[in-house]
Amino acid sequence: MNARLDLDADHTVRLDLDVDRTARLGLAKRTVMPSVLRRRPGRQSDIPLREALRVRSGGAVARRGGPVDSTVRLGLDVDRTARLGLAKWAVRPLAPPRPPGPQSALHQTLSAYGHGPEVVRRTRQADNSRRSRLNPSMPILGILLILTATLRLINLTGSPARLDDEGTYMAQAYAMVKWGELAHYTYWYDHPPAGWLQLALWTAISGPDFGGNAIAAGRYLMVIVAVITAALLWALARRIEMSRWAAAAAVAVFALSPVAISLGRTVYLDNLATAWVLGALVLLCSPRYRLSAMFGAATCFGIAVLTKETMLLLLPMFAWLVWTRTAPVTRRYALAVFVAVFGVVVGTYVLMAVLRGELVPGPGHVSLWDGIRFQLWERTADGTLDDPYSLKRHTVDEWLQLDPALPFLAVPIALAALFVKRLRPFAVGLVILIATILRPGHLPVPFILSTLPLTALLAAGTGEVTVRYLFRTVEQRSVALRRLRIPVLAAGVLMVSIAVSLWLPTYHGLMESDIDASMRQAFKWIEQNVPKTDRLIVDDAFWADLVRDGRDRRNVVWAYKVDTDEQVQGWAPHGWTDYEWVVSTPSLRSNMPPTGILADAVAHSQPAATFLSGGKRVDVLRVDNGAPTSKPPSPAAPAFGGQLAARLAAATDPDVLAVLQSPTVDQRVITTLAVIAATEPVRLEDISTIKGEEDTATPRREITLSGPRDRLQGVAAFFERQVGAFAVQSVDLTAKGLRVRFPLRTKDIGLGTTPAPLQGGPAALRVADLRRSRSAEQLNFLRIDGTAAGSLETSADADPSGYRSMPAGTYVMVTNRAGGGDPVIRQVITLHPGMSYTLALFSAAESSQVVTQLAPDVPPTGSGPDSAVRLLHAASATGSVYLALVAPGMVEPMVLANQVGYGLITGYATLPPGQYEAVVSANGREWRQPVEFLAGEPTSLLLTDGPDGPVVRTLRDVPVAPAALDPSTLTMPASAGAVDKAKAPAVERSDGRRIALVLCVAAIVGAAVLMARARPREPR
Amino acid sequence: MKRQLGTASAIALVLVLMVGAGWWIAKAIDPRHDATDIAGMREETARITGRGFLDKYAEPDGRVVRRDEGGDVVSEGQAYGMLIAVAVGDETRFRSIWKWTRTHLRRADGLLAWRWADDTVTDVNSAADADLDAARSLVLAGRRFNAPDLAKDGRRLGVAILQTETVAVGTGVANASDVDPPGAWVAGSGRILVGGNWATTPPYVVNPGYFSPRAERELFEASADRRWTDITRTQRVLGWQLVGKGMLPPDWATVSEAGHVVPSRPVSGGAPIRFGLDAARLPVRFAESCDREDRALAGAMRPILTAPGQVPAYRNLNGSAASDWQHPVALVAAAATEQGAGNPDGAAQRLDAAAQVEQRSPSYYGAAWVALGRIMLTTSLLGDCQLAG
Repeated sequence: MNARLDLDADHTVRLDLDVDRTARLGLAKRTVMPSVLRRRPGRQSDIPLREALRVRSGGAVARRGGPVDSTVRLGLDVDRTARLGLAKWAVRPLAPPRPPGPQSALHQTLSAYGHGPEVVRRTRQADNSRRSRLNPSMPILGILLILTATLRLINLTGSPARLDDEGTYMAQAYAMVKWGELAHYTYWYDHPPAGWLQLALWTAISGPDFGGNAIAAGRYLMVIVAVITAALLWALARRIEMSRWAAAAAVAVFALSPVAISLGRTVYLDNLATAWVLGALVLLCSPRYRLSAMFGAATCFGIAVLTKETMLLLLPMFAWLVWTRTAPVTRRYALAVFVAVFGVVVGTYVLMAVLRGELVPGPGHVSLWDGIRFQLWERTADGTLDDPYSLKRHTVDEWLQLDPALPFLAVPIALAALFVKRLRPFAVGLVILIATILRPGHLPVPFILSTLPLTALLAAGTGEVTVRYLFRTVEQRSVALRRLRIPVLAAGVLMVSIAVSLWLPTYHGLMESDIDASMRQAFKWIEQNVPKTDRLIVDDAFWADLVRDGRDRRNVVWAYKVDTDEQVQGWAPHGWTDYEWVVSTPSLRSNMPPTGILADAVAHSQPAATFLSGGKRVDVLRVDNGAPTSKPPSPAAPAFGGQLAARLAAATDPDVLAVLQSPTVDQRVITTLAVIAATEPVRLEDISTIKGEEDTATPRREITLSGPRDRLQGVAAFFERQVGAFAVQSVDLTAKGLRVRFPLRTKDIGLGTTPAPLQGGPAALRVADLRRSRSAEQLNFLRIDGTAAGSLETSADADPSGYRSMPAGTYVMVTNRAGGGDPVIRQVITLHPGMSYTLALFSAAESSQVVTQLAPDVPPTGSGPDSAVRLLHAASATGSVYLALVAPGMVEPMVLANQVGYGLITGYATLPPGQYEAVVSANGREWRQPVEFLAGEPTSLLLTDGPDGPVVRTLRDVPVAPAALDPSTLTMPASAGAVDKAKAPAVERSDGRRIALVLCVAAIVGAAVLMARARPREPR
Repeated sequence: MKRQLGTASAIALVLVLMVGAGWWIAKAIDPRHDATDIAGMREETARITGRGFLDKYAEPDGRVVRRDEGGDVVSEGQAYGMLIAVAVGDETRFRSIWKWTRTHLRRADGLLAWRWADDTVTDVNSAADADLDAARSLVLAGRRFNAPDLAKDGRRLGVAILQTETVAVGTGVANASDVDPPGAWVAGSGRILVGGNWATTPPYVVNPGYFSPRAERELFEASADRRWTDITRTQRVLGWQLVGKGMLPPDWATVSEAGHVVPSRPVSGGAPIRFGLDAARLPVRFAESCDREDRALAGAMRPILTAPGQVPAYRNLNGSAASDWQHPVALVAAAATEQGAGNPDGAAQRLDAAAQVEQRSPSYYGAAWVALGRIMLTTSLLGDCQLAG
């Protein structure tokens, strides 16, 4: 005898038995499917087969007495529970009998129930068959889940651009992990913290660098959550008696909808909450009616509400389901359990507020009540949908921009589902959510996320019901119904086609566009160019990454908190002037208050770098707060570039020459190129702009030089040696040449204004080496066009050199070792025609550094009958001094300096010529020295350290027959080793493509294996 | 069996039709606009504006008449008409304008006499901007209308411009020791487009509003003559000398042999040195350039030209207002600086404002530059940079 058990679409079980007549008649007396019922214990499980079994047509039983038919066809009308069990046995030919052996437990059980050996054998065969077969749902579900993951992983970090909200949640998660705090600023009960607690757990598991940045790390979790949501959606669909293909359709809609992809991979709490809601629904719809399921459902729903409080809107749906999905006898008990467990879970939030003493408002602290009041009543309404400029309309347009089909279809789908009994509670849930969208009030962008699984479920469910209705069994079909089948099918295909056609254009943006590029580039620019001690106002999307980059959390301030958080305002007591930078993103601009610290900071700032254009651009704004480095650096005046370009014209690309003659080149570039042009014949290849600085006032600060490698190495060593204003940010010697970049922050070094006119004769210059420890050095002077003007050697003592005659003009002053090595650019000086100057060299705080000061040796009032006198303070050991001049008959001494330190050159003071006494006071002691001033001659008092205290010497500031400079001694250093000073690691965009590829391969292989296993085998 | 097959085929056909219909309906009802849609809309607006100019100012015989300036015909207007006609793809109108121009204005040296009135040429001198724009439009028309004759005419006109309306300047050409301040010159060897055939002796008279990097690039592509790129580069250097930091270029200037440029009064005399309706074309022409360096020059004028308040027709070189009335071309110049600074949306808004001013006070020059501004700044109707490059 052989048998075959099939489950029809209308849930009728068809049992084909190849038995003899006697056996047929005997079978009718047996009870139903003991093996199934044993696995499905319940109230209705002991219905005898003879009661549930009725013969429909064509079977041998119906034709008793007729010719013996080898097949019996029995229609079984069984209860739902049995049907579900039977479904697992459907469409499976029974396996051949196993060889005799020890009796299984099943065999023993069946025998104990009094079943014959034939039934036992068949049952055993079916049991074996089940073990060797795979649930046909698995391949379908597997493919759908991999599809869900793949679509979300592709271009994960490229689209959408990282958002302020995402950054906030990740920053709060960071604060939990890093500092054990509930938020990165004062937690004010805006949302319950369970959402970012889950994110914190994820970041603790995944590590801080997963995905390349904080938001990318969060997005990977969202992909996992989306897969879980899809699996739960499948389970829910199956548990509410939707067919396998209808469940697949529901999951497919969820997997493929562009709005679900885009918002689903965004770090929104709603994604997490929706997964918890679906988990609760799956447990609630459990066919086993176990109390543990009810317990679990209440817990899941409670966590969902604690993750995102808007899930509370689904409470009516849950109440209905709890009422309808429980047995009448246990209904009250189940409801009580659900309410109690849900209350306990949600109550932890209130308990937390109580324990923190923040339940109700009070002085000096936030409160849960304030948070609730803000969310429910005080939050600014977003306007109405019919107002095209309202925020609510903008939000809905944002959804429709991603998916113009599903949000529109949600309304008819929800209404249609209300007419299907088993879908009705879910339809009510969706209707509530839609009503919330339509009502006046605040509408957050991620609100749609909770509607998507319900919409997908109801779309598939109502579609299935419609198809079932149209394709009912033959005897139930009417002619009118048959005529309707094709039009309705065509209409369905048309709708699906429209929806998919509307989705297709969005996929390109989701899978290909790098919308986040501007954010990523801006972050990289900040990382490379903004000093870590500077204080920035940022979009929260950057917060966690900037803090992780080593910045003090008080120096990275979320824009929203600048005007709203008293703690933050305490960090910046001087308002907007306490900030150096604002990173202006679309989100920051759209939420910027019209007045306040943030508005002021933006109003007083200029872009230092801009990424992208239009509304999506990201500006890094430098706040002009009065600090010397807060103003944008001035480019070199084109005339200086013109001088250098004329010198380089023979060997330089004309386009590069044109750039040199534009006011877009950094002054340091011109200065260093002048030195290189004077010493080393390398070619200037390019003066390039740095990404983001093209359309801003930031001058070009990167050059590329080419030439023989050994020369380039020497030039590289020269650049690396530069200090102070001429220090470089990076020197990169590659096969393409030597690329040098100067740091962003700089000051005017003397090339910002147009060169002085040349008429008026030569100038005179002397050098006073007033450093603490003097090593013999040479000073070389170069014109901006790269011609060497000459040199001077510093003297061994503090006495200045004699005046030297030089043509008026602008010079680069370079110090180098005697003999010409190790040149270091010290200053750019401009000598005006007919003027004389003293160039003083002082030691900086660090003894190895030199500070130069160029002081004109002419009093501002010009030479007159009086004498003019000033002080050069070079007595480093003496410290702060008081210096006054006293003459007989003077009522009050003339104070030339009061508490001034080493390294100061005062301005000239006029006084009558004659004999004076210089009184120097320092460290509680006083020294007196006679000095004499001549009429019409400016004089400097040089204060130096002597063996018994400070010594005052007089210097006549009048050049007498100045000599010319010595010949230039400047040379470039010898070749240095390979230079790669600041090669920042390339920041690759982690877009999940690799993971997607691996998943795709895994999907194909997995699907193939699963399909192979699921394919019915021929009975042996 | 046959019947079943037929039914199945019919059902399949219906389903395929439904899928196709769904795709078509989706395309029709899709409310979203992407960058391509917006570019298409801007292009359509430019076409409409261009056709409006031609309908209003171009006669059927090919004259572009300055109706609000005495009804005369100038080579500049003919060149504008040709540029707009080729941009909107109106070959008939293009040919008629060029035919009239060739017949009535072409000089023996191939350049165009600048003014015609009362059935005769009233000034036989050339205006370099008109010659350059006409040559550009001819080369473009030759490519767009597949008309080698027009391309050939364009190349010929280009050769005539190079021979008669350009001069070499720079430190490689002349001694620069007398340039003060030193460095305010053109380093090496450069070349500039002078005002016309009448301005070829030093100091050379130039109109910065004639500088057109895009036209020069087009002619370089057509002729492979490197002098065109030299001209563009040199003019950029001169432009920076004039604009410097916080200044505006003048309507007219003189250039020394070493390449030192100084603002000057108009050649016709009378008017003061100022940023007027002539100089307003400089930012537009530089903003449409394919070269970022040129666009940066246009963008450098943005802080002045887009400063809050009404946009005056004339400005002093420091940016202060020199008139209390508005002209569309000044607004088009402001739009160009937005474009040059990388803000195309801002440019589009200012072009709309220019169009409104033009509607209130229509004029030949305003209408021409509203149309040309839209065409040059917001569309690729005069070719895109990929093709040109």
